[in-house]
Amino acid sequence: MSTIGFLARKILSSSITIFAIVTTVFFLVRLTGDPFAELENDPRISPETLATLRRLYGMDRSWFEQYMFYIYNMFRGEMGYSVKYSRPVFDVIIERLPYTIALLVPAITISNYLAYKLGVEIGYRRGSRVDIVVLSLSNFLRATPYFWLAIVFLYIFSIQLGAFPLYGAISPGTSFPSIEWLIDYLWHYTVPFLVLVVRGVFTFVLYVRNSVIDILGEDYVSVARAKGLPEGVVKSSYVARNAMLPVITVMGLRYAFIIDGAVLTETVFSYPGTGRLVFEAIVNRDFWLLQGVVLILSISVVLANLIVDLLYALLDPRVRSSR
Amino acid sequence: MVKQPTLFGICLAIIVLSVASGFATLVSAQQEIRLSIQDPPRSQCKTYGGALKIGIGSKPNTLNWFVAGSSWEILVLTPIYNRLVRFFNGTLVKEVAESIDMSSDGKIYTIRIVSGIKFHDGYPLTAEDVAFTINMLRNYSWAYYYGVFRNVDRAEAVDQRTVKVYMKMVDAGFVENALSVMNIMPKHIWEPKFRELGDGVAKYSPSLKELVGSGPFIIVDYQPDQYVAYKANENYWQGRPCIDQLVMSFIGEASVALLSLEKGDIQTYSGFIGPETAPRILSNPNLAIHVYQSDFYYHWGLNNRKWPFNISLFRKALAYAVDYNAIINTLLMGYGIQGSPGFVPPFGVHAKWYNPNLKYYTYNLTKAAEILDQLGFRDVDKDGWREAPDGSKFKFEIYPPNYDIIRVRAAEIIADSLAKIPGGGLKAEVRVVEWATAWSLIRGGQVDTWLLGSGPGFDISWLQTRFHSKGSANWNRYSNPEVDKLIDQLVSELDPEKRKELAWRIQEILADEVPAVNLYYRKFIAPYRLDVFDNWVRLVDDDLVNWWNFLFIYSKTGRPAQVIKTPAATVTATAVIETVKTVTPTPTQQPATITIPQVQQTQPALPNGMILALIAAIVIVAAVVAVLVIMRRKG
Amino acid sequence: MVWRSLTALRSSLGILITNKASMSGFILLIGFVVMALLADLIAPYNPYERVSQPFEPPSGKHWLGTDDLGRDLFSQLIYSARLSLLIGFVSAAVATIIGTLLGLLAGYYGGKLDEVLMRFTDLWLAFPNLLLTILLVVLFAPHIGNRIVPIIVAIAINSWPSAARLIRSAVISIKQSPFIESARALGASNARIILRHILPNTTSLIIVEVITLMGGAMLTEASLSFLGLGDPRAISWGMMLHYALQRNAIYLGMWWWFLPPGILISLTVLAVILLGAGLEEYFNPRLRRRI
Repeated sequence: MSTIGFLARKILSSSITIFAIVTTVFFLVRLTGDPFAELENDPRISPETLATLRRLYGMDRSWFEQYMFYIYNMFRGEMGYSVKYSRPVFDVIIERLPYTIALLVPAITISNYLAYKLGVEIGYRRGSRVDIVVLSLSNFLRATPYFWLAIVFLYIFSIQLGAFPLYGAISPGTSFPSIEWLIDYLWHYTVPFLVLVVRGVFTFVLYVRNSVIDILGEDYVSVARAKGLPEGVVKSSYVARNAMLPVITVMGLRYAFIIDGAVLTETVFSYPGTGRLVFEAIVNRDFWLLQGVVLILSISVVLANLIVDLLYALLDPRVRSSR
Repeated sequence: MVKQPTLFGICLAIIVLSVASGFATLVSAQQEIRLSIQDPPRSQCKTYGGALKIGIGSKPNTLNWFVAGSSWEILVLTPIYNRLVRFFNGTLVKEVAESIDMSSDGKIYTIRIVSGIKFHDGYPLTAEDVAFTINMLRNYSWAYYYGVFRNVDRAEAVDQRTVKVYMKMVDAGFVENALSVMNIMPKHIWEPKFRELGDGVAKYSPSLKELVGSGPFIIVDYQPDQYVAYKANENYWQGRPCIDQLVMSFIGEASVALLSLEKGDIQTYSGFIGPETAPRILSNPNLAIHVYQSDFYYHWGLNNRKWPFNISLFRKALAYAVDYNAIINTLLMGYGIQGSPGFVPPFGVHAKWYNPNLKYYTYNLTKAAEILDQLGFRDVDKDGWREAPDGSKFKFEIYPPNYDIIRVRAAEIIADSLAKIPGGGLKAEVRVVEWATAWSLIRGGQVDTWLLGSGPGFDISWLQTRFHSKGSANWNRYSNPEVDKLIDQLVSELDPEKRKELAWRIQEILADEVPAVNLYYRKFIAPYRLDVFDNWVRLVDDDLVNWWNFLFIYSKTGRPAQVIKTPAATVTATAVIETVKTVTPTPTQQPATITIPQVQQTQPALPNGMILALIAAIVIVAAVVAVLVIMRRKG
Repeated sequence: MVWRSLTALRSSLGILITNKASMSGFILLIGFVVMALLADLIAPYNPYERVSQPFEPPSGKHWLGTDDLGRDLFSQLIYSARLSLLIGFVSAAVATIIGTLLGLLAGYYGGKLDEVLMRFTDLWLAFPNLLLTILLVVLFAPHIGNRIVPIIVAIAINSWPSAARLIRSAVISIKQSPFIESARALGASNARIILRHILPNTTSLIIVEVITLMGGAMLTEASLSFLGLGDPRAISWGMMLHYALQRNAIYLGMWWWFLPPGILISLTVLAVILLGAGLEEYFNPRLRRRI
């Protein structure tokens, strides 16, 4: 019962959050200029064409009017039209979203899991050689700019070794549901995926390790050991399980972090996802497209955090019993 | 009987006279001038087959030709449609139009089209389609080419093969500016759309099935942000293209594209390639470079309404302060020529309008110093910088857009030279902004100066948009009543000789008044592979991703074509036309020998790299698992 | 207050000597700061001046060759330290100042203010930072003269929430301390309590936070430059990378152009991370409750 109440409250506050974000972006972005500005250098474009285009995309009305119009449409499920693509925002996003999701979700899952497993082991072996190696790697990778890492990977795997493609998500000529298509898709997928996972694992493993070290210092661990439980059981039932909690709380933040990574990775690998789309929308002042993508992004971030909160509530007996 | 001039006789005479004079006016109105347009070039296919894969520098955002505005969008749609006429190496050649007649007053065009042309879905292409396209462009102001067709009143299909276009105003450049860029759209597909959506067509994205045209290729696949794939139209009315398939892949980074080119993944690349890459490309025996002259004039735009840029002598001083040599030789590495001070390019389709008597500005800091001294800009407080005539500190801004690194560097070179003016430098701050911001600033007229690249139109009337005080693209806000008058005459004058005179005079004045400092025309590099395809059509004014290549290029390993016994002239290889002395070494490499290559697979079914990758993946996974297992055992 | 800060500083330095990792980080960072300060002496040429032919490979005259305008790359590398460190430090400092202010207020007064702040920082931290920074840079850039200020402002706006959170938790726990109670019992005003008692105790945290944020700020600046949003007239490692890529350095195999700036960015950020981590470990037992 109270879990539902908890959920409901969370959803309400999240909706307000999303609303606030979208509104802020709406007005912020209109301060930056006009999406039709660059058409003006083109002498073929007459002033009437510009005026008509502005009218067609609703730019000729006052900001307030546009805003009301926008909110109204949002509830109808219409996200407006992209000026650059001359088509509905929804279509533009939906063409690219699968690529990004397919890249991000496995990357987050696998990197979190690997970091968790590795972190527990490292936490146990504090001060050992393995610990030092992983720590150094972790620090170094955290210090490297994301795009630089992507470029180095591109250089090694695609340029020097020549084993992977240089751009794109699929090659022309392969038709969708077929083994050939799948192999081609995975071939393009591998290196960007590797970049995200490698960076993800090594930036996270440190946090897990520190949590594990904290836990190892807790009294209940000493009690368990004093009780004579085998170390393996201590590790899996007490340490690992309790290490999961702080890990999960931070996962929401990591989701946002990996979206940033996606933007840079997609740029370097010319991967046709939504990360690059947001960047373009900002730079092109493609208002409606930007708002659409921000909306979807906010919803996904909020959703991710919601899931994390739920997981946390389920896993942490203290949280549960306090209801 | 006595013959009197009867009433009847007089009436008859009057009737005959009036009919005769009526006939006479009819005849004189129908005194049409047949425009001389050349026949299109033809080429024999030596082989059929092959898939041509090319890279282009950016992606098209829409495949709806009515709104398509960027050069990439137009490029991607080019292979599937036909036009009435088209430019080939700066000359207009016929395509769907068999003949174009213009009435002597310039207000009616009668176009007769070739018969027997069919769209990809079997429908015939008739005058209805031509008239429909013109009318849509005329009626819908959001269409990209609306402005170019603005002088048209309406178009009518007189019969299956004849179209009459009625003009509201005389437009001397109508055929060259408007008809040469218009793709003929199928009425049977688009008219229902316009009826159903009206203005909504501006936001409509056609499906592959609706992307029907009469052109030599048919679209088979479009992956947004990635590529467009076509197959040859075997029933193409001008004769099928030699290749079977065409793919345009979007590769944003020049480095990545060049690497793909070296790998053999693409055959050529259309995009911005810096001149620094030329030596490495040329060192590869399988690659060659086609250098072509772009007619875009990259100039230092000056806000003629803002002091002190409203003083033409001041602008002249600036023209003397630019280190043209550094820009052409160091920055462009020889791949460019200095801009003409009259703005009309000395080559290509513009050569006939170019005034060769203009005196070019040279890098002369002393002269600049003289003029500045004369105007009162002196360094009174001896801080190294010149102050304004009233003694106050003086500085101004230069805004290059961030997406063109050449322009950013050019701005830096200019600012550096300005600082070196003897007797005190001019303080110029380079502010780099991105594209959309740059536009609103320039358009708003608030900024001092900027670096811009602008394209001249095909017909000389383009001067109107740029230098007429009411011109729609006169960003410099240059205003000279004498020039205005001359331009007005230029646009409505139909006699080519008189037009040339006017053009020459206008250029003289512009060279003297310097509304903007014309910096350079670029020579772009188009690299291509020699080993797989032959008969590359190298145009004077464009790269290798062009209409003629799509039609005429053939694979060296295709199946032999049947010999057609027509006296077809083969496409001639073209040289770069240069009427101005250049400082460039022209590094165009002629293919010396044709080597028989190994067959390059452009889409490997199972790439070798794939197998390597799979093995690598398995090894990595195994290693990770092993490590974890070991650690678990030890722990 | 000054005395307290100095004591905190001294103990931080004390920790440094003992902790190997933070020591090396400290030395490295000092090295880069020295490089930045003495750039005029170390760099052989003026990085803005065209001194040779463009695209020259490394040689005795130019240790890292020249760029596309013929300017010495090694000199550019040295001078870049200035801007990169400056942007990093200033952004982090501004962010920490804002965060500290808000964190102090929220932590001390609690109630509605605290709730609003917590909600706000929650959503802020969960939102992809880079995108917001890009938007802010694009937004502010044309209205202010150059790019550097917008970049600093954008990064600062993005980073202050984590500082606010940190200070807030610290303030909450300090609030419970007995000496605060007694100060209040003695009739000290809120302002006095905050300024004289609470703030000095957070000094060490502030120092750590600035250092921690600095690493992220430098990485963000590099990413912004890479994406083409940096100040093109500026000489920073991020801009060097940007130009290297724009001028086909990868294709031409000019590793001397695109490798060193990336490596130096990593080393500087690494130095900052190690230093920050070392200091943080020291303060760990007292104020670990971050989340």
